[in-house]
Amino acid sequence: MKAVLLDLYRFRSFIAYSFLKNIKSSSRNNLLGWLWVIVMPLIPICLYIFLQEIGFLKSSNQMARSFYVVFGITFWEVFSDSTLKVMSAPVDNRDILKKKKIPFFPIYIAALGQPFLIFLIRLPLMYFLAFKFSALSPFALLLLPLTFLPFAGIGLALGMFLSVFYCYIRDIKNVLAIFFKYMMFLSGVIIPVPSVFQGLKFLELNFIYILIDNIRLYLFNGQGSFRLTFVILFFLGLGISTIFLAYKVSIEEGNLRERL
Amino acid sequence: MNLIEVNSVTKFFDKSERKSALKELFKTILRILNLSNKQELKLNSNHFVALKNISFEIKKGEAVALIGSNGAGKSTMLKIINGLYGPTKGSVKVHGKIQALIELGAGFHYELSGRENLIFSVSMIPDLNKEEKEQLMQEIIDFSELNEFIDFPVKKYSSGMKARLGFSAAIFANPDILLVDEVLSVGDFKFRQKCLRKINEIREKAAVILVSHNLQTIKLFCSRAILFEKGSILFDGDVQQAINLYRQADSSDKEKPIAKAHLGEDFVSNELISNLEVFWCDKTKKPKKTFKRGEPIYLSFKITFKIEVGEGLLFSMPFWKDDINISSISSEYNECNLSLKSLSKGVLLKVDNTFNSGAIDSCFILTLKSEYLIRKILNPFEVTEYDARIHGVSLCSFEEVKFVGNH
Repeated sequence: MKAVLLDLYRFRSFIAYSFLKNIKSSSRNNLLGWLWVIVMPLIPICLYIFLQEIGFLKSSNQMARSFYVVFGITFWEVFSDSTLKVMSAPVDNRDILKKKKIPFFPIYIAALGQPFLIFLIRLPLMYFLAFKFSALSPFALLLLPLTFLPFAGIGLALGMFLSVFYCYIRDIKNVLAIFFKYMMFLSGVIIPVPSVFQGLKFLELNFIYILIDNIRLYLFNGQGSFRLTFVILFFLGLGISTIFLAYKVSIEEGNLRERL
Repeated sequence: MNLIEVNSVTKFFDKSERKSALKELFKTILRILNLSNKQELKLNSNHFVALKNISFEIKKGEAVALIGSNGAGKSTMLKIINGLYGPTKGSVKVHGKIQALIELGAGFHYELSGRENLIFSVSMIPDLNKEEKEQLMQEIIDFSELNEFIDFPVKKYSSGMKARLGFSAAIFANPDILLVDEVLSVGDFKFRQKCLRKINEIREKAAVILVSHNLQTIKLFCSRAILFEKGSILFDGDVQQAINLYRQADSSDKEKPIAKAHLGEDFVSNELISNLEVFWCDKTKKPKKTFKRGEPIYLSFKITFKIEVGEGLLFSMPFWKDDINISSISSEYNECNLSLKSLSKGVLLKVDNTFNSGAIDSCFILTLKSEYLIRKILNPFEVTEYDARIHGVSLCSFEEVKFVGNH
């Protein structure tokens, strides 16, 4: 397991450059260049805020509409993008992995670059909304950038496990992408659907939704501190199990490379 | 000191990945979840054996060639040594840092500049600090001789320039073990010599494993050769002996890759020709594959035409050795008029054997005015004797004479 962490240090510049490479290559041959990288993550958020502000989408009674949407969609997308990107990272990098003996774990970590960028771009908007609604306590203000970690952490662990499946069966990516998209709408992440339609109440059991709702509520009015303690403890456990999982996957790397 | 120890390595591949995917996935998940430690070790009908019980050792300073026909298992062996594949059975011990020159330019992004791609390639070399990386970058750029174009997007590079950049980026990793897979044909002749010089430099303090079909390069570069055939080691030892064995095995092979690469597939105009017999033989028309140097070579051929053919029939025959077109014969230049009558009865041609030792590829071509009637690649024949590093069509004799007189 020590070797897995050591790999992260040894390949730190590879992680940084593969993230930069993806951004640079996506902004080439565009007239607006980097502007697209900033604009694209903001478009869906603006759309959902608009739909809620005009009353087309129902919002929660517990907090301001735009706060509910922006924090909900950002946390959910960090989780879902991290899972999907990490899951497909070995296949996306097969050009390199089939020729160079680079361990999988740095490739997984590099895959978190894009969700992190989206989070960074949305962070000023999140702060703006927090100040607008006087929502964040000084502690929560400091905590806000760190909210990336639990959702990316779950995405990393889940994505790593699913990447083993993805090396063998490629259908899983499409299934998961559809599942994540629909769960975002149905489980109260951006629209409190289950509270409106009682028949969909069971969707609130969606574990990620519970985490999102807890953190969102705590950031808005400081409630749910007990729940937050639970969340922090949970992620400590998750961090340890992620490293263990990375170690177990690293043992299987030889078999997985053949399947890429 | 052994840098590489390969012990009884066997490797299976699944013939149909789709069929076995779920089964393999289930086993992998069980292993990850610590519920099973079993590896698939039993051979079944769905398996293809790429390597069978391979063992060898490679010492520091050795340059070893892996030779064999396509599908013999050379590249799989290289990938197992490089750690890209795990062996099904057996083990590979590697002592030192490995660098592989396999498919140059892997991972290059064509929208990015050469420099940006180099930064990414250098970032894949672990344990370098910032200064070392910058110095390495400059060395790579200087070696590739692409200083002028290094800030151009790679999509604007010619294939030779891409190969130069890829080779330079891969060679400067300072390895203890260098694996080279069919990449020594990069760039022009001058750059190729530079690459070989660089590999020779590395060889002095490391071990080099070379996979190539270019037997001339292997002869010049390697001190030992391992001949693979259908996943097993056929021979391990002297380079020339291994090459001779490889040629013997290869000449019985139906494939003729060198001539095919130059001329493409066989062609016989079935509308015009009904029977075709053509083979190398001795003067009694007995088929023969091996000739001593200087011994006349005979070609027997017989053709039946379905139509009446007037003038304009032309016969020619190019010869190749080690991928180089070394000679040709032609009824036009040799002033030999082929009559249709004699062709249907059968013709025996005597060819002067001025070839150097080795396998000679050839192609039988018959044209009528500008139209191809026959283009048939023949089984290679072997010329024996003279094991020297010789270049050219024929070997001239010479002797030293004492100069008498005033300078």
